[in-house]
Amino acid sequence: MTGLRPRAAIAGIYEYPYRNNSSCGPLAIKAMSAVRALEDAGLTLADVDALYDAGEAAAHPGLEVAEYLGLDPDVLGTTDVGGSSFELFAADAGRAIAAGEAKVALLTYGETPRSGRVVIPPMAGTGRGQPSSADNIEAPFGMNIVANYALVAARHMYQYGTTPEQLAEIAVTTRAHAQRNPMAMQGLTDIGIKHPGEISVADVLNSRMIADPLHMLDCCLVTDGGGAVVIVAEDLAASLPKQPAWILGTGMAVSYQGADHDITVSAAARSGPKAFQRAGVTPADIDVAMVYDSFTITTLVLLEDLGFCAKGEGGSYVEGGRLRFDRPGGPALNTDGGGLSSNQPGMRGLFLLIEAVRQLRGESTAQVAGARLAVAHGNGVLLGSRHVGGTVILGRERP
Amino acid sequence: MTTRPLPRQPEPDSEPFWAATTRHELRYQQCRNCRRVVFFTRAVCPECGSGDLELKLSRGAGTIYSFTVVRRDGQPFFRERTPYVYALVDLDEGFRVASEIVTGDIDRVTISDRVRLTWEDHDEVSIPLFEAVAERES
Repeated sequence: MTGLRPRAAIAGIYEYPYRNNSSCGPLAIKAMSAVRALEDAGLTLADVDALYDAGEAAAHPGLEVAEYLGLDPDVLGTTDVGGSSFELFAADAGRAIAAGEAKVALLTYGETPRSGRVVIPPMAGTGRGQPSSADNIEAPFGMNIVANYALVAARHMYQYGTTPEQLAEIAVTTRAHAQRNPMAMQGLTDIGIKHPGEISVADVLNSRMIADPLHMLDCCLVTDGGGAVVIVAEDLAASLPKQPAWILGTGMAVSYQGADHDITVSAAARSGPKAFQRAGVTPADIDVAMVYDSFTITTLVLLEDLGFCAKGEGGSYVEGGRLRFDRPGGPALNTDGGGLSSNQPGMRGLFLLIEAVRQLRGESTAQVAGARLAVAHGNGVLLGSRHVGGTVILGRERP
Repeated sequence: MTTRPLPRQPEPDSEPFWAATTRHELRYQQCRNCRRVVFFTRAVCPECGSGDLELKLSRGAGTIYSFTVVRRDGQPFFRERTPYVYALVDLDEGFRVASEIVTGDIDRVTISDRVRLTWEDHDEVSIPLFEAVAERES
């Protein structure tokens, strides 16, 4: 263990429940979620001294959120690396707390791509901001988000013999978990999913092909959503109303394209071992795996890279419902339903932390009996070209 | 009639790359200091930090590293173009590009296929695309 002191723990969580609701904009979702998550931690806005914001809701990351909520933070963190931003924020908050610069850190998130108040940013090179050389050299060829991940899936199949049926297992497992989560089920209905019930491998394979080999049901939802997480120093932990989820170890890594780059290997292959080593635990110890699921291939690659199985063996590893919450033989995967079947407003990393905390508190709708250790791994930006992996290991017991 | 999205200029790092396309030249960089092959074009070698990067000419022959048949896209040009093959191509000189494989038979494209450069001309630039070697020779 690295021995950072004082220790930090997640003390408050809140998930904004609506998936398709135009009555509330992104900043309002962030602000309401902040108040609720602070209540969950027995704290108020006046207690916040560190603010983390990826900038998804306003022009100047951190600033407008502070103004909207009337905050006066001593520490401001504004990393935007897409879906893994919140795993990096948890690590940053832990360091700010260890350094004695903060005691109560607030992370908020809110986006409304579904109801249309915020437009999903265009792909690289298609219009916004200063063009970069990389954007400019990639823009003319018709890459979209699904195609980017499909390149990884196709290469994984080529190198390891992974099958579409195996990828589908991930969507099947998380849809089963969503059945137990009322917010997920209401959301599936609210965004117009015709068949929100359980799905089979055949259902995934029979759904419309979007970019070979990824079908519609290999792809995450597009929903509104948001939430907040409160991270506190250990001297506040004694007075918390809820079981704290201790931050045991964190790690991050970046990954980008290159001539000799193997796109079946993600940044998690480097961020994961750092986090596990710092936490002093191994993948075999993990009860709950909250692993980014923008697409089924994302989760498959990340499970391998985090060390739950060997590289290339993810396909057989996920077969047979191994990662369902009530099965032995592996961690429970994305027990809230994940981005595939609960919510995905664009940067899902915050929800990975939230559901991991629910599990460690015993509050999940797909509760793993006696869950003690959870991993949250966010993968931000694009798996097949450039991305950032952020791993956070959380535990029930004070380290 | 919609048109392919084109690179936005001015953008100094990619300007030499796109300027060369008007002559149907696919350019990449090699560091004169450490010999590292560099792509996309940039001002600093990512291996050694040298700013002395030579703009070299590719023969345009390569191998498909991975590909997908895109069947849905929201951008007007590509929506009309579906299904099309988006791919990563490893050039023989040791750099990897994203591009499109132009083919009359999308079902025959496979990873490790040999491909070569073909050009689609526009007013200000030409777009480097690839086609299967066997198709052209048959």
